[in-house]
Amino acid sequence: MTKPSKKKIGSLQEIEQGELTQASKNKVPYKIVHGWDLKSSLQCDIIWKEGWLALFKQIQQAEPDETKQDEILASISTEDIHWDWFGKAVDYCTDEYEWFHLYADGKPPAACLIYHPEESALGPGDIFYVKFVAVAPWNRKCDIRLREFRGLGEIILRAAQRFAVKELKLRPGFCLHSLPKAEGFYTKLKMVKVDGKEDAESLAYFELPEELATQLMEAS
Amino acid sequence: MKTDLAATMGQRLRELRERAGFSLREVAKAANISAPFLSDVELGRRFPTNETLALIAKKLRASAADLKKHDHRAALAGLKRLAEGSPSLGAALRALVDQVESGNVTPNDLAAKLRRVSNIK
Repeated sequence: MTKPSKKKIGSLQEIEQGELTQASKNKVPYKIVHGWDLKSSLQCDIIWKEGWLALFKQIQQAEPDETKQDEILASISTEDIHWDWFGKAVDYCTDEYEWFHLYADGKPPAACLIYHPEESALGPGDIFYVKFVAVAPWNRKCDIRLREFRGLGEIILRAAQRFAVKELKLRPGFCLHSLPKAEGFYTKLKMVKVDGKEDAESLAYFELPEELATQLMEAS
Repeated sequence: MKTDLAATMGQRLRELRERAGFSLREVAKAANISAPFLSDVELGRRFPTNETLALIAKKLRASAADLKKHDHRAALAGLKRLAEGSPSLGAALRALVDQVESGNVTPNDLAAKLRRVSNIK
């Protein structure tokens, strides 16, 4: 029986660092770590679920009317709330996958998994496919409170894009199937929605064209 | 060639694909699916439709029926249904799981006993 080749545990590499601005205007350093890391994935599960519970409590305290609570909840992107990052890490450990975790304040407030190489729908050359990307609940837009950090999704995708070009020798560009409520985010990134490439669950296919991906990489 | 039925369908597909020297993309194209989807199938996170499985099997020069033997979902669902319909069977299965998890019975011992009971090779 042929076993898929596994990523090596411990081959973690800090690929980027920078500074984030909190809602309180405090500056907080961040780093992006590349590599398969069960511990970080487990942290995403535990800390993010605690974050969801805290957010639900905040909503209940801020709005006693249950109908309005539902309206607030419906306005938040919760479609990935059931994601099991640890389970994903256990399964997605073969050579086609690359893991990225953003760390700030000793916690991972954003995570991303990419698959490569994938064929571009917009032009020649291989790009990567974003299998999963998400930010912690306290960084998601919600009407009753400010996000702790903004722009983490773009920061981690930019790091993945730079890594893909530099280390995987792919051309700039990436694609994904978007959860319905995340489509606005990808449209804002100027990704192009391509009809006829929906996945088995009918999620829309988006791709970032080469020129825009180059601009994303060059942005600071 | 003897087939290892202990392998999941995904593991078997990957084994056949790598042995044939095909990339994920080559097999995915032949089956009209995306390479990430096929990767999910190989990792056991998703399952192809019968039509897709037939196309994958054709590309890998394998039998879709043989590949389906590696899909344990129906057997597990059947076992669940039986356990839910019979409290004594449910209790026996729970005890069996405890025995395997504690190491008193190995999965291979269990498979051998089941093969004897069901008279299969």
